[in-house]
Amino acid sequence: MKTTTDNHIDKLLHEAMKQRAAKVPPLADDFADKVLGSLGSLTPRPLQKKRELKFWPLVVAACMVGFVVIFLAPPKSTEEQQPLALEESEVVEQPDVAEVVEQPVPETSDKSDKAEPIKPRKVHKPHKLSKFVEEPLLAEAEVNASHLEEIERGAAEDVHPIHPEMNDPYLAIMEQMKDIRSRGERVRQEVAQLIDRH
Amino acid sequence: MTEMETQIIQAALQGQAQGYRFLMNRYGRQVQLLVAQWVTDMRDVEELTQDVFVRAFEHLSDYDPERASFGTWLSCIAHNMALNHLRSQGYESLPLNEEQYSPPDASQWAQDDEASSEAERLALLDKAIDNLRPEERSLLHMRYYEGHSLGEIAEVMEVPAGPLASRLQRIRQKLSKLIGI
Repeated sequence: MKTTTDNHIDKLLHEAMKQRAAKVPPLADDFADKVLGSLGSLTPRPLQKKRELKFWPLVVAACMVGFVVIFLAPPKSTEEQQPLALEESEVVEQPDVAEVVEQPVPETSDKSDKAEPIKPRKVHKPHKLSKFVEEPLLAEAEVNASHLEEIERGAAEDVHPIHPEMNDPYLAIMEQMKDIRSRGERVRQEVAQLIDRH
Repeated sequence: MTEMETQIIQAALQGQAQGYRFLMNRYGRQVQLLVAQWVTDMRDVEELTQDVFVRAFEHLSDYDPERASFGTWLSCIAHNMALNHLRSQGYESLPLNEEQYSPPDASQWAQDDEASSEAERLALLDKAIDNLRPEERSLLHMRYYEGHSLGEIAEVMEVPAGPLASRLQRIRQKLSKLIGI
């Protein structure tokens, strides 16, 4: 914010500079002629085009270097990567364990009287097959309970544990799958017989 | 810049120097007064003023109307040429953006009795301005005679506007103290 003193000094400076300029004599009348005489042989320098920095050659060069480094450099040792590759190939070669497992659906109490044929349920989760053994498959069905216990006990005995020497877990699962299938087939037949009796 | 100036500059760029006379008549006095803040000998002032216009003509293709007016561009050339002229005579300039600068002690210029009238104050102020450094006189001239903004002055002198404003303020305070206001 300007004070009175500031305004005063500004005013005095305006006046002082004006007086000083007035003391300077005007330019000579032939001033322009003298300058034009000096310019006689001169011409303005031609307009220089500004240098444009072109980056695309640098980009191309960088790409070429990258190409050389990536494709022409000696490959690294793949010893560390090999076991992983083998594991992956084994996984691919294994048969699909998610085969359809036919499983009898437990009947509800309402439907048991109608004696409709039992529709098999499709199970697509092989990793849950171990639980399948423990599930009370016929718990809700109106069948002979003691007979079912026998069946389950027998089925549990039929399931072979994974052989300790068997390194491949997929092969072990396949063995179990075979057992489970045969057991399931037996259970289904027995249930069908029971239903027929009733 | 007027349309005529633009046409003259374009014509001069194509080798027609006669139109340049118009620009000299229009800006000659401005350049002369600016040079006179630096050089006291009037013959040197006129020679330098001529050199400024010759240099400007040579570099006319470098002039960018979008960056500065033609007058500001000429002032910039005049400032640099006057400074170089003084340097060639051994003058050491003090950068105007120097923050620690303080004007020379003004007590030697002051008269014993305080200036009572406005005329006496002006005379005292004129004497004090004579004792300022050339770049400071040039700063006062562009600010108080030509009425340039600090931004324009900073562009001519090629220094930041902030320190330039501080420097101007210190000069004003010193001069105020000197003339007793």
